[in-house]
Amino acid sequence: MNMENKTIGYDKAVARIEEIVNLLENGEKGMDELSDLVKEATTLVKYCKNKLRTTESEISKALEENDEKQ
Amino acid sequence: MQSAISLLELNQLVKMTLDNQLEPTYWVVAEIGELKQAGQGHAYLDLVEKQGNTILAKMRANIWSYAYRGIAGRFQTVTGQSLKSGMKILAQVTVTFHEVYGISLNIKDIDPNFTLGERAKIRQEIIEKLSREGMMDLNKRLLLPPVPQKIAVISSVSAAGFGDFINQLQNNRFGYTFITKLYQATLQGSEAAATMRQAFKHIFLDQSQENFDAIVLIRGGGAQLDLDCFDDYQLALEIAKSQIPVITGIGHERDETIADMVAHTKMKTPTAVAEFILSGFREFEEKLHDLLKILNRNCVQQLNWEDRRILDLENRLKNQTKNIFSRESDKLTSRLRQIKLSSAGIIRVEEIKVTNLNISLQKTWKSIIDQQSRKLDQLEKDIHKSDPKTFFQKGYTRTEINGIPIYKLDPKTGQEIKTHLKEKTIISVIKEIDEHGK
Repeated sequence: MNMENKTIGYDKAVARIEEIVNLLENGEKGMDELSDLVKEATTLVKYCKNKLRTTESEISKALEENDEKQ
Repeated sequence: MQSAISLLELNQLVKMTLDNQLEPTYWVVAEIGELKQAGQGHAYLDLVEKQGNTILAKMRANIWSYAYRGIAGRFQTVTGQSLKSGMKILAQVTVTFHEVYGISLNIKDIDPNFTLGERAKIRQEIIEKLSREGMMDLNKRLLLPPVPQKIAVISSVSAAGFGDFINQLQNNRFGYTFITKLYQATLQGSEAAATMRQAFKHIFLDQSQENFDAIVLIRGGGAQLDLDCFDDYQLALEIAKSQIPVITGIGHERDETIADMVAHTKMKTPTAVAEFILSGFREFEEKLHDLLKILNRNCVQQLNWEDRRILDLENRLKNQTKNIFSRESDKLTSRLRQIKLSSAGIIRVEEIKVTNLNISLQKTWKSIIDQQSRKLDQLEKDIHKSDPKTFFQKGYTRTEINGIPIYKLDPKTGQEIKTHLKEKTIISVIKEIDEHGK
């Protein structure tokens, strides 16, 4: 799952995180699986945060350019 | 009773009586019944007088050779034909009686003018009859094609005139092509008219296949001047009734024959017939040539006229096009100005809209990012909470049977359980289960 983070897209990543949180809250998973899920979720959160920052800066930049043009 | 005399005495008496009672000569009108020429140059004849087919009178006659030469020669010169049976003659005769050979006439002279007149009379009768029957102009009413290329020739293959005719046609210097077919006929003698009539009949039979344009009746040249056969009534009928135009070239010096009269076109000689036909071809060709010239002239005129017309149209078209172009160009310029004016207004409105949108966009996107950030923070917290490390840190443990948390199961004594701590895992066996809180 980690390997696919780069291509997964923001919305799918968030959905997966929500799914993992549900699974964790449910408490039905064993120890080994539990720590794997946590690691995957943590990675996805990092990816999403990063994506948000990038998007923010891209939008800001685009809007600045637009303003310059006008 | 008279005393008897001998036959000789009787014949001598007859001879003496005739000599005493008859004039030395008589002019007698009679028809030649038969005419024989003997080896010595004498001519022996039967003279007859007929009423229809009945012979009313008949007598033997002779012309001695010294007289015959002169009589026959003069007759030929004046009448254009030789003495022959069936001819009516006016003869100067002496009645002679020979004790052995009996009575006969010795012809001293023959007046050819009588025969000529006699023949002219018969000929005139035939002409009058043909006129009454409407035959004289019948063949002339047919249309002779301007270019008569297929020609039926009635002649004799051995006749010089036939050779001249064919030669003239085939070797014409204009290169015209002819198709001729000879219908053989005898052109002199007693059978001449009949063979010519026969030739006409053959042509009429062949016409459906041959499609002749004309029939040419030509006689061989030479000194032969026996033309009676061309005055034949039946032959004249064949010519008159022919559906194909007949051209004659009988080749004679005297007045025209009846065949000439009823024919479509009469020429003097076979050569003249050929020349006549060729002249028709030439005339036709010249006419064609003239027509071509006229056609050419008219075409050139028409072409020139059309040239001018097209040029004129071209100029008008150019002018019209120019006008339309400039008109349309003006229209476009004014439209363009209108568009510029109205589009400037629209652009201004849209600019305001876009500016407003931009403002609301800036507001919105930030709130979305913030919202997402908060959501992620919350999720992170949730994960953190569920992370085993977190509760191990707090001193909690986690017990499982076969990988499933124990609180989800109904454990039994003797089952093996795994208890996870922060840094170790303890495996133990359930000794006793104390139910409480139930």
